[in-house]
Amino acid sequence: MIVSQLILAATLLLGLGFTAVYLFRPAWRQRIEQPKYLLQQQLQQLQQLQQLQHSAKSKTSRQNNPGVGGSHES
Amino acid sequence: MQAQAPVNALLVRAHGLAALLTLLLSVAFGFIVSLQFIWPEFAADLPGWGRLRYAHTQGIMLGWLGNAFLAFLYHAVPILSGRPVTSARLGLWLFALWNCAVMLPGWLLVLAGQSQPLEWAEFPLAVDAVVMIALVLAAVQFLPPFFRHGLENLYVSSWYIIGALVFTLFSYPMGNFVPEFVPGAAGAAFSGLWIHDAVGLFVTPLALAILYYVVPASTGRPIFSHFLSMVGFWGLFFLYPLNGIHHYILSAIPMAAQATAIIASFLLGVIVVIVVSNLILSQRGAGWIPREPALRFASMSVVFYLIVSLQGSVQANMTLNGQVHFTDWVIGHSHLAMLGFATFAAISGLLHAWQKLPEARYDARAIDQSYWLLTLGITVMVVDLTIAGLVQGQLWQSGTPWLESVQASRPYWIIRSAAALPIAAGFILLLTGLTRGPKGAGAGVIGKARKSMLPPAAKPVPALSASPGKALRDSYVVASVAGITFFIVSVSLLGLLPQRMLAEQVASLQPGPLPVLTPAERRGRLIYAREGCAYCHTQQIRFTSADMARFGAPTLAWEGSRDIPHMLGTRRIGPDLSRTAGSRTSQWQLAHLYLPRSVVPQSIMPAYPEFFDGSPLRPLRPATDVLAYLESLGRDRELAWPDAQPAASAELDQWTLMSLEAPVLNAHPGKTRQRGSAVPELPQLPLSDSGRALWQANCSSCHGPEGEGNGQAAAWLQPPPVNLTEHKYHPGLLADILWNGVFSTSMPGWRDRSSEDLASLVAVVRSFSDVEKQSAGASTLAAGERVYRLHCTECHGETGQGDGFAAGSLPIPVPPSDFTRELLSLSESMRILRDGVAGTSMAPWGERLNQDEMRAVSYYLQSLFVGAESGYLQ
Repeated sequence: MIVSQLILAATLLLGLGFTAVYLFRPAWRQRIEQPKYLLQQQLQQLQQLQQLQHSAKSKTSRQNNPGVGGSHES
Repeated sequence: MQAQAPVNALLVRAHGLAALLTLLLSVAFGFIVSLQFIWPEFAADLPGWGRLRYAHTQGIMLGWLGNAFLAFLYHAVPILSGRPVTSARLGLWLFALWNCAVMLPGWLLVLAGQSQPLEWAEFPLAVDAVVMIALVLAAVQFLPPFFRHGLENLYVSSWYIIGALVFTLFSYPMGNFVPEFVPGAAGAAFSGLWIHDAVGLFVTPLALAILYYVVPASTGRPIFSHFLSMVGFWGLFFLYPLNGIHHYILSAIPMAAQATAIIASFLLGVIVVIVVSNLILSQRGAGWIPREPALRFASMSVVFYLIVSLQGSVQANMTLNGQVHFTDWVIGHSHLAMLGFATFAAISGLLHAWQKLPEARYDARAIDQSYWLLTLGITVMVVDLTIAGLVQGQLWQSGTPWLESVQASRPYWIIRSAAALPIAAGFILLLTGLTRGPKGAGAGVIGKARKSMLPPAAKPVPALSASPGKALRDSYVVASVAGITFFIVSVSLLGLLPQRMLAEQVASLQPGPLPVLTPAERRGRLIYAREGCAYCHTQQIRFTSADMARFGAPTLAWEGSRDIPHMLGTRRIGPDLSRTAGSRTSQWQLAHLYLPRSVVPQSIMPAYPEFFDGSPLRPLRPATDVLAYLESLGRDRELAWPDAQPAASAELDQWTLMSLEAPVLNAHPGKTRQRGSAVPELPQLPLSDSGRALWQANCSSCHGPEGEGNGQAAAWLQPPPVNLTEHKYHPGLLADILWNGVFSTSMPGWRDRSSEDLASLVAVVRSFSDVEKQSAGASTLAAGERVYRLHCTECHGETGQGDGFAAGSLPIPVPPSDFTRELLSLSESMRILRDGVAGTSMAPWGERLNQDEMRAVSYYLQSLFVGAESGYLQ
């Protein structure tokens, strides 16, 4: 039973610790949230890259096969 | 900002297709298994039910989810880390290893009978070793890209990926290797760790990594809160491993460890609510049923995750667990976890990765249809199994005969199999959607779908500081160390500590060194394990009043202290077998093994005719080995009962005392007991349809539909079932026989039947008989009495009540007939006198008595009968 209480206490401490940092350390809060924006930038970059590749491929396809709209049907 | 790293399209595609193919095969295994619940003889030529079940669960976890997760990792890790994975060549090796050295041999071996009877760990040890190598390779492949940038900017999906790869490596041996060395309940504690870690540290983190990735990638905006996602991450990694023992609540595992798991299960539910809230808020603007397929699957996965997690928290509660554990509720729960939450997340990740493959084919319509079929099928299946579990639990608690719970489950099992059809169709359509259709058609799906979403809020992306503070950087390192500490704590609390406590308990309670199993018993145990018997028959009587009433004294840890690996089991389709030794005759067991429905018409147990040379009368070694093993189950406690005084130093908790002070060690309702043992008073009931139905369902397989002793199993049993048309019984004797069985024969007791049921059966049995007393002359009776006194009294007694001085010490301890309460037709008496009764101590007298003597004694026996109507009750 002591172990169960320790787990309960540890979980509460963990939660409280996270919350305290979030509430009382605005600079940390920004840092903690930062990865989600970084991912967004990565995804946007990827999207742009794919669009570039897509247009380049379509262009090549049109040059090689005039009158055919390419193999992509997106 | 990180650079863009190339995604290895070949490996995404290879693992994706392998995932779908292994998924379809695994579903096929599961579907066959489900049909065998309805038609036990279905596909009897395939490997047995247990082997197919092993292939089903391992296929779903390692084949389907393993490959799907790897496909996603090849797509996501380069984007999340900004670096390519370690090596494309290593990727090819990993692919080959996972599919050609894990899945293929794993399946072939379990289907061929080489397996471990450990849940979610059924592949044999050799394959487990390959899995470990593959897990190391996966860590080498996917972890270094993250560490090249440091931990401080890791997105939550990256944390989950790192956590899953590291902790699966640690936890896999817990369930796959350790129980092969740690016996009994202590081994089960480690098994429990893995059962939950397989879900909590392998499946869930990778599924959540996908959800946290697909949601922002599909909506085009960041998740609601990275802070909440990290609270969830650490909460889950702290609490998941502490849940393990909730698979063995109310078992012999120390209650302190069980309490730990129960508390952790409850707290886990709280953390999951945080995770799910964050994920739902992250989908804002995408609508209740998002248009984009990957997001739609992700969204449904989140819903399934919330339900399954809260269900898990609730069912760890001791009261509810006492009701629903071992029932289909748990099967519904695991299907919701693996086929609902995890599968939908895996499909979401696979679809997203597929959409980004420039040359991949993509059929949006098929995928859309797949979503609806899968959602429908899984919802119906889980709801159906959950209700089935509640029904089974209620019937088990109320003490109704076991087979009634099997019969009551049948409609639910039919619905479960029917629900598998849309699920299978959904998976086929998913495969179609990813292999047919125009090339590169997936690329435009996200863009099109975004047009239907609310536009992202016009909130400027905050400027990112160039360098994190030292304290924050350090905090991540501290957190990483803490993660490993959590795991060590969980292994200590739920594995090592219970092991030590159990060792102490075994030392204080075990009556002495346990005899080792004989070679035949050991071989039988292996067969029992490989055929998956432990997946339907538990070997643990739990500390509940319902279990004690049905099976007897709760199982103590020492009873399994030589069981390596343990076979406690987590599901009961058939009854618990902890105390099966001595509960049935060998012939009954052999007939049951050869063709279960020959002795239990409503049984759904698989038949094992391959263990025999064409008949239960000609068992081959596997049959006698299994029989030997069954006869060893419960033998040690039986020999020790009533339990010897435990060591003086032993501190007995209330649970141990509950077992030691149980009124009955073996409460098996069918076990035969000595005549006269606590027979209930039965009401007098007329012949009824319900009585006839009871007869057909329970008695006809041995005694025949009309009581002529010619049922299917009759020829396999000694003594043979009585031809009831040739016997007339006093109702009191019938009540005794029905309540206690006939000691040492295959006629079981029916103690789980109500008095009304037994009275109905008495009426049926009596209706079969047309035997009447025949009048005989005084000289005939006198001659018969002379013969009787000379040859019969030592067993049947002076007055014919079956209480002769030798009755209690017969070489075959079947009780001699009580002729005062049993009237035999003359022809039946003559036949028995001439031939004897096989399987009893009644010898043939045909060569020692002439016809006249036998006729005379037959008349005399009839004269002893006091009358069937003289007092209904005994």
